[in-house]
Amino acid sequence: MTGRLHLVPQEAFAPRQDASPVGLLGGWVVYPAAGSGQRTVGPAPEDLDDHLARLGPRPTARGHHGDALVETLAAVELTGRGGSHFPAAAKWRSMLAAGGGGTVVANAAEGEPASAKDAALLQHRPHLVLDGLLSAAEAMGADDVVVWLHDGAHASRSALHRALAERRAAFPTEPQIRVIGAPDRYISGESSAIVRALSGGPALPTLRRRPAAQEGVGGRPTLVHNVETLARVGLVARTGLEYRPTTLLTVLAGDHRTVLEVGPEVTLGQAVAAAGWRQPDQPTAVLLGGYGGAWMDWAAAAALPVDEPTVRAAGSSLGAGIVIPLPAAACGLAETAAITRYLADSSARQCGPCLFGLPAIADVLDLIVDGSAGRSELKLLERYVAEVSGRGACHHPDGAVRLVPSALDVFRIELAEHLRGRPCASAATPVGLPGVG
Amino acid sequence: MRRRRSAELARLRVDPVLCDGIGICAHLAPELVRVDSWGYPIVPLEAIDERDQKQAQRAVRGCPRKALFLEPVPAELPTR
Repeated sequence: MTGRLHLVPQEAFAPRQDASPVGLLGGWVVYPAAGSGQRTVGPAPEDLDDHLARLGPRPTARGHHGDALVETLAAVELTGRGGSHFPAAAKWRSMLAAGGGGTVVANAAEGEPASAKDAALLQHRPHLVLDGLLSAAEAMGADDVVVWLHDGAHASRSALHRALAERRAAFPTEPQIRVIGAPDRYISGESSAIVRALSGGPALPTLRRRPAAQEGVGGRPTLVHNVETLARVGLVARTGLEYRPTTLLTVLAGDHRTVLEVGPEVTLGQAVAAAGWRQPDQPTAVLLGGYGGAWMDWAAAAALPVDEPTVRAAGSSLGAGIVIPLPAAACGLAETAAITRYLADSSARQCGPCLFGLPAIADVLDLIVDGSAGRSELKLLERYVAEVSGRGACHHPDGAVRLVPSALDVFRIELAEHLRGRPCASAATPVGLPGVG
Repeated sequence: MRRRRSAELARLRVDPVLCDGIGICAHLAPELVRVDSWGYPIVPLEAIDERDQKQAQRAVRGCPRKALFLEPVPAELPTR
């Protein structure tokens, strides 16, 4: 378990209300490292009165910013915060070009065990998420409005139902919002799985021959946005071009996950320190973007501003904002092997290259970790990675394809030792990342 | 050499959910389809040349799982 990291308790944490009236989260939220459970620290959850006092009423899509909301989203370059960073306005235009109508989904099925930012938003700013969802539905002319979240996300679900009850009482004419439970699997948040489930099938990914924005739930245009993306739509509808882009990070530091909102003036190093990194030594590397993300050398990463375009220019991505520093004593290859096994086990088991390829990759990594693999196994690993790349119906296997080569590069000195039969001292005892064990 | 995109151009695609790795496609279209370490087909990303059209169509028709299809080379549309 994560207790092996020996962090000091987090008494230094204090919730801090953001002075900015247009902040997304307005404070820190701290969760235990594992599970989707209750937060241990956080700002006061915002009820409808607090929300309206802070931000005022939701401008209707045809109100203050009018039909121009999609143009505003384009102008402020809002991108998808489920990890893809795909321009939100492009999805909206694609759906409008297909005639609109149909379904709009808030995707709250936060599959990455290390992530907690979507839970933090739903539990602390549910009305901002719902505002964005309703503005998107209104702009698309959608008649079906859905929140999709894991069956086991109890704290988020009760916050959501409380917020919906408040809205029904205050705004009886608002569209009904369906809250639909997703199986407690990593893959349930994949957008084609959502479309398939809402169309009456199993919540498993499919190969999509046309984009959901054109042909989604029941064959009708469908917009699926991550809840953070929608919360930002809720803000942009109010601020217009004054929107201040920030990033929601979930930093995993030992036995807790800290969700914090930072601007581009903050470096990754500062964010990790602020999130309570209490080990005596600096991390050696950091995993950016979660289990399907990529490792980066700590020295290079720590100096980067928390700003997706800058991180992209440095050859990486923040993905859904997940930041996992590697303790100095840990073996990055062993952590990578454990994560790869987790990704293999999380496969929907529908596509051959994912079903067979990910376990094969994990098997070779295990050999490297225990020091029993040589150059020929490394060649085999590289071949498997190349063969799996881009070959699932969804992007699940592509996550492993990003993760593994980044590990071979960032931990190349350790790799050479492992291949000589001299594994790291800590290779047999991974730190126990959430969900990975 | 870059090909000009037109409505005529198509590429071969696999629906990996339907595909069971039977491998008939690799026999019917040996110049287009190779198989990976687990026997599943890898198809070219590029549009198919005129001279390869016939074997592509053979592979599509011959797939017992109906997992292969020809797709017009897509315009720049969001897929997610």
